[in-house]
Amino acid sequence: MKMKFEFWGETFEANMIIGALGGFIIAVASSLGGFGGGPFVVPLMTVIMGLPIYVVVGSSLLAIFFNTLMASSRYYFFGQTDVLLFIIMAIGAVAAGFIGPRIAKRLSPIWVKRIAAIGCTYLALKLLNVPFIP
Amino acid sequence: MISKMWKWFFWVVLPLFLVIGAYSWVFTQEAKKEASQGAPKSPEATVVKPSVSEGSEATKVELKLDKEVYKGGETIKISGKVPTGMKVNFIEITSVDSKVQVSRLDRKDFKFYLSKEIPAFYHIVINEDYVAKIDKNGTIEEKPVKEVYNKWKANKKWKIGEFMKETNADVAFITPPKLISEIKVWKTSISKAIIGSRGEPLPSLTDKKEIKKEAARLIQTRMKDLPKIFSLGKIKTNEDGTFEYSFKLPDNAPPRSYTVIAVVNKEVKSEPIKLTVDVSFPKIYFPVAGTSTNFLGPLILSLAICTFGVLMGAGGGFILNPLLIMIYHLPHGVVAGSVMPTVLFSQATGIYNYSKIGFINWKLGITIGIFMALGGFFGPLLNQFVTLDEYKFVFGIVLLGLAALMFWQTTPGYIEKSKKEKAILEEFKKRAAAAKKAKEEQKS
Repeated sequence: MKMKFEFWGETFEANMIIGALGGFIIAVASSLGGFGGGPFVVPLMTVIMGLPIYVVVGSSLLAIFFNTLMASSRYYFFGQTDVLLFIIMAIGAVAAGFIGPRIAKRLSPIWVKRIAAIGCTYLALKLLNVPFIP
Repeated sequence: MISKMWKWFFWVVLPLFLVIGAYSWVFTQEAKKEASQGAPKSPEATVVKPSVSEGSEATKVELKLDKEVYKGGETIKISGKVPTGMKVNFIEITSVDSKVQVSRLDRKDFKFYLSKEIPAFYHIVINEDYVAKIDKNGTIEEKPVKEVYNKWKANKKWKIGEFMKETNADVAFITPPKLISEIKVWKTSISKAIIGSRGEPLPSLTDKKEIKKEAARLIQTRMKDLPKIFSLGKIKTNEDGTFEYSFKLPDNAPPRSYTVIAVVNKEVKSEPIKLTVDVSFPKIYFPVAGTSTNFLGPLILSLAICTFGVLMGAGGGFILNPLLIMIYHLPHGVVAGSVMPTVLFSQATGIYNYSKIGFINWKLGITIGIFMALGGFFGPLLNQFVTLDEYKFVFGIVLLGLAALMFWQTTPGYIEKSKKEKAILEEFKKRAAAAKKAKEEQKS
């Protein structure tokens, strides 16, 4: 099933079966874990669906917003949202949105990503209970 | 300008309202069904006093505390007197005002249990010299509790029911069945889970014996580790029957009333005695998570991790959630439910900014968005069904995937490609801004 759409005068065709299935799986994992799915949805739409990045940046954000809003309301109705913890986390997150871009200008994005990759691997090994990890 | 607002309304706000409306309708329908099926509550049943050996002075246990109000991390000095020849074998400490919601999926018969009245803090101290007596088909077997305790402590899949039977600690498991008036039960099935439901509602547990059994399991689900619920301690009982014990409250102890009960055996125990735990600023109590901690800790953690998240181009949740679980031992459901909504603001402002310059394809975004909303409908349900270890496993795999993605983004091939794409993106953004300006000038 292909979907045709227009973006700034250009016509694109996207395989919606891959898009829907991939989006669904990412959304289940991200709402189960409680993180945003951005880093996975963008590669899904660019690498797997073959869309150029300028089409994807805004539209992927919209798609993820659906997931976040639905999952948040679900958690809230299940009685699993600690409003106090949410407020504290939100203050930190919003402040980070102002601080982050200012620091970003002075750092090499490639090195940040390398450090992040190492950090994520370490955390993953810890979560997976791999022996001999301090 | 007005047409843009309408577009917003029609494509984002309206569908979301419809989705949420439909969901809350399903939810209320389910709640109605539960209400009609659930047995009537009997609040009187919850305040039954422990039957202390019909007034005979000889078997009375006296109990005293050194203070009335404590703070988290302080030591409670428990003392008292038991009839001569007896020994205090167990001391039960429960928070009676601070309660949390705990749910559990029984994998054997696929029943889902949920109670909102689980004490946020629960502990039984077992006298380390106590020798447990287990009735095995008429023959009584004796076993030192130390042996039993160490056996189950080493076992990651320990069972609270069996542990309490083997140590006789079930005689001290007194307060939770009194606090809990009902435990809801669902029969889960895959077909029900697919439509996003917990399952077929069954009559709630209201029988005290059943509540006792399930309450213990829910407490285990919440506290996880055996040493957090049970500890071996030297409860000194002197020859004249006086005894004393010092219990250290954990730093994260929830506030308000607690009860303490000293237990000799099934028949001989003290009246519950009250104490209050005071939580004062900057320490605050998180009512759903059921922990009190200094609010600066999570705030600084969130700020630091989210800043790093912005730098690496992924939300903070990826790193924040596992850290909240590892550092503060919060339940994984509460972590996911509280961290997830924090990104709503940044996402909404992002969408607004992109839509202003016409940089969102609504057709593409909404089509994928609907399937993502569907995924967001199941995820939180699955979160309730998985154990902490399974949650950690899924999260670990996701993080490995993220690490691989990050690494891929630092390879020379990707950098080359992304440079070109970024240039195109900037070009398009300029064009979009210029077009918007031209349109506005035309209007005015």
